[in-house]
Amino acid sequence: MSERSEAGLRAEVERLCARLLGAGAAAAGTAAGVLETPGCAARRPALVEASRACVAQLRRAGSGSLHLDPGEAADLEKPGPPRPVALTAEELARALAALPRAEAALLTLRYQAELDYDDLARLFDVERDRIGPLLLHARRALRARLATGGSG
Amino acid sequence: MSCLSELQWAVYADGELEASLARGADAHLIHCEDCRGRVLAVREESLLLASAFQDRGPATVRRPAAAGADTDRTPLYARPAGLLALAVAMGVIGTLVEARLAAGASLASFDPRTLVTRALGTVFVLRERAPGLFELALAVGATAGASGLATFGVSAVLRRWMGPALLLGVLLGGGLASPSEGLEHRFEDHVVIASGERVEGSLLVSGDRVEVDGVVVGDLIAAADEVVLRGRVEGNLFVFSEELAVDGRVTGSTLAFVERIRIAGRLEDGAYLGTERLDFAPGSVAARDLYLFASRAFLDGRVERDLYGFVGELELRGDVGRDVDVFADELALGEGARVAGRLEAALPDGVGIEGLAAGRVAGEVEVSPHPHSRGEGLERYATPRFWVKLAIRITAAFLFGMLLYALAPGLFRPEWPAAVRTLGLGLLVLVGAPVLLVLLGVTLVGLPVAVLGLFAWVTALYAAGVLVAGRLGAALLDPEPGSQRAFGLALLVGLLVLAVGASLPFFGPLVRAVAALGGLGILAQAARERFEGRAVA
Repeated sequence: MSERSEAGLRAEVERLCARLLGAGAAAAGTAAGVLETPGCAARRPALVEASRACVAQLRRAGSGSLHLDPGEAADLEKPGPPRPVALTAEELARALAALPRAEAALLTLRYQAELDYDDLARLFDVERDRIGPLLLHARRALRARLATGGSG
Repeated sequence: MSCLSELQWAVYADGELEASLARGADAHLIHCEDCRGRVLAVREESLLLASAFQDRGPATVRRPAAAGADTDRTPLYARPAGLLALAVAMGVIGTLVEARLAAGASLASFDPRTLVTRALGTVFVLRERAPGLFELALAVGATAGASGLATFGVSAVLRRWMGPALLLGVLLGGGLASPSEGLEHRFEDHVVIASGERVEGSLLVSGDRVEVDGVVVGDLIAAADEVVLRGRVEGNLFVFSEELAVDGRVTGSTLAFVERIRIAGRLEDGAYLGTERLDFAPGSVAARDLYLFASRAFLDGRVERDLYGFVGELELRGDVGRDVDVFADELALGEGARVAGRLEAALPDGVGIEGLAAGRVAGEVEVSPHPHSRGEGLERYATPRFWVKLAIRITAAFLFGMLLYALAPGLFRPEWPAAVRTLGLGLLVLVGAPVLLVLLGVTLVGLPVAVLGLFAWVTALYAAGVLVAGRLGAALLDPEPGSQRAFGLALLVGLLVLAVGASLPFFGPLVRAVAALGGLGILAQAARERFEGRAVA
């Protein structure tokens, strides 16, 4: 990996970890740890590794597990809140902060790290078939937060 | 299949729906406008989220002119002012250049057909000048083909594409069964199948000179400087060489791309000959139809059925058992010429059939003019035929584009991938695909599959221009997503813009080539994404 691409990847991993765990030493440490992992020459493996470390940290903090109760699953069949037509990074950050940590992490890993369903299923230790409903639920929760300006 | 739920469309839009369900969803989207709208809405939300997550600045769902982000990604050549300026500049320069050069001069060397011809020419030059390199390339091509097919097969099965994988397996199995069975190859300077020798099965030969005095029971595939057939081929004959002489007999079809061909023997089945010069000697016979693509052709022998030709100069001195249908610059009937059926000839304006005497043609004679490429120059724009042909081409492309949009609307999303990479990929597909298919056809998958591949390649070549026109139109008009009517209008505008570009004096062929390369590059990328599981629908 060239010096430039390594620096770019390091910055990307740091941003991802900061979003998942909150900025600070933990994120920087995770990023550094990932980049020292042998064989981490490509973007996707690096992000998967960083995500694994971050999700493990979330789990230890008791906020890294995902599930839908039967009522929430049934609600997915009904129309959800209206979709946003415009979105800034600041609005997104406010709405994400109001979501459960695991749901925010799921959305972050899907739309920032662009991980696929298989990766997400492995990271969160759920069946692959559950990722679609979990993502839709998280998207709807995010829409609801965006509609109320991030509160509530 | 009935309409899917928001959840299923969300999974579909992520490219994560199970393959069998995704195929059903693809089919459903073709005729359900409501669902197309749902999928687009989900995709737009995903793009919005991705943009905000990756902090690429403020993001919006639509692409109005004021929105900024997407419009800014539209390259200069896809904006109205840029296009107009480019067209005017190229039109003026092209007119000046073409008026000063010999009439009819243009950048024809950039035309896709010329590029392919040159690529094949390069193959023959390499065969002649660097035989070691050629054979190494053949071996590498065969190995790469085998590896590619195996990788594709394994990946397809792993992705649970059981249906297509099975179909591919059957096709490959079918393809492999015939040519591989008893396929013998001989790569020597001088290959001789001596009189009395009998090759059981098909034979692949490459050398400076190939002489067949014996019998080849299967197909004969020959790539050599000179091929001489005095014996018999009981299957098909495929020849790529500088010279071909057939004094013997071919029981199957004959397909030859050869600089000079002399036929003095008998071709029992259909013959397809592409050549600089053909001598069809007295006594020679084509027992079925003869399809001819030649600069010069002299036919003294007998064609027992129809003769079709695209020929520069054709002199017919023998018999044709049925009809003659040719597109030629010059056509002459010699003393011994006899046509038992009709004679239809498209000849340049003011050119007639030389030697057309009573009794030589039993049926009707019809001569129609065709636009002559040489010496026409800028006058072509003043002929109604030019505009009628243009209108027909645009109509056909429009219908094809609408069909393509119904099948894969995502292909027309006004996105502009990296230009150099896309053009490079396009060039690779344009030139590499036919060469690879020929190599695969004679080594691995068999000719039927390779011919299907060539059909797919030709279709892709046509689709490429339509695709670029559709994207241009979408970039210019920004049609409402999911609306067929809005897309139709955008496609029409794109086709008109492209037609103007392709008809520019001098630069026209270059515009056509860039459109073809760009479209092929986009198609190749879309195919790759599809294969990797990111749906394009």
